[in-house]
Amino acid sequence: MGDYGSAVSQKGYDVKTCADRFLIYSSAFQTLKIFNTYAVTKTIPASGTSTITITHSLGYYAPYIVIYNGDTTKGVGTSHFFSIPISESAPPDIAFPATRMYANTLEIDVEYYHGNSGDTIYFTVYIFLDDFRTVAENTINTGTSSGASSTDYGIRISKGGFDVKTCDDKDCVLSSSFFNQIVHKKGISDGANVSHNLGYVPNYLAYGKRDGQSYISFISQTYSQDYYNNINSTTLYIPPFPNDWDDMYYIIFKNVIS
Amino acid sequence: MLLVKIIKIILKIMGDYGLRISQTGDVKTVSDLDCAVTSKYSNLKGSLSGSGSKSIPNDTVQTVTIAHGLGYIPFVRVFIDVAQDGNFVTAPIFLLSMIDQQSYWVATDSTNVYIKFWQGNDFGDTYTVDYKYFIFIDKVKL
Repeated sequence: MGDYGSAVSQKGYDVKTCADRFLIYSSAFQTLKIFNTYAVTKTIPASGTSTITITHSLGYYAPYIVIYNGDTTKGVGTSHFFSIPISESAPPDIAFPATRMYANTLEIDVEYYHGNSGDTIYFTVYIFLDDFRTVAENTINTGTSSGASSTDYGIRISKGGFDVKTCDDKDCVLSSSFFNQIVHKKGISDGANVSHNLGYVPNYLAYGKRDGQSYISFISQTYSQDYYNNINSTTLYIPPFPNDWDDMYYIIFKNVIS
Repeated sequence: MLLVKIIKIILKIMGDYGLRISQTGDVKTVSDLDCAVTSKYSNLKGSLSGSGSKSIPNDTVQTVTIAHGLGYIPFVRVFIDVAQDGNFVTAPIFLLSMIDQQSYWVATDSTNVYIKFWQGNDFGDTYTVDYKYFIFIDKVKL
């Protein structure tokens, strides 16, 4: 048979001809799968560092996201991706919490300057199931053609314990009403930049590892202008030596950001 | 209808039901890692994306506000073309050079996403950057 499998496109796109990035899923590609979510807290220390440890027991380095949700004094009405705003007035003072993903645990450092001593600080953590084994890039369709259908059909799959007919969208595993994080390619680069050949600027996640360390860390853009990690329509760039990573663990998605 | 009811009953008895699609290998035996999708694990679901350009006068915090209308705090990703050269950097960003500093960060509440921009340079120049964003329907405050 050879050419078999299944695929579902986003609403309005012809599944047979649309570009890969308009698919909800395809058996030709992997998707980013959420292993677990965690709401964690810590008391801000008077000095030094307190560390939050989450045990995931996956046995490998997994992609992750850390969201700061506020603290006792600032309240919990606003969230920040991988950052803690100490002051948002000019010039701003934005802290970047140190995070370390080990094979079986994730650590988040809470520093004394992240807020008032004795306050409780709040984070949400997403740990994904995926690992960084190499997935070579694979492109089936690169066009942008649309089926231009406005009829309300497609696929909707709920999480366990939720009625697929009535549950909120956020309680779905996937839905053809929303775009999905389809993996274009992933792997580990030993310091070399990674080409993706998509022809547009895609979404990505990148983590760094130094030789001799047993963890990966989200690559925060906290360095001088020469060294930041970035992506364009052809290449994902790793911050070059000496600042600062020996290996880059990356996932490049098919979603376009440009 | 009777057939559907019987299938539902069987599935309930089985307990472990849902959808599983493998990318490579036998769908019945491959690991979850090798699945294109499985209802055992949820996916991040994107609902809104967009882009724009922002002018940043020297030493003033600028904010772009984007309404998301979800009623809870969603997961958001923002990318900034700091150098205006087509290379996008994921926010939050802090950059320091011999002549300037730049900070870009993102705040999200149950109503809006706020993309914040600041730069200070030795010449008093106004900078302009491009930005792109993804808003997902997945919650970040559990």
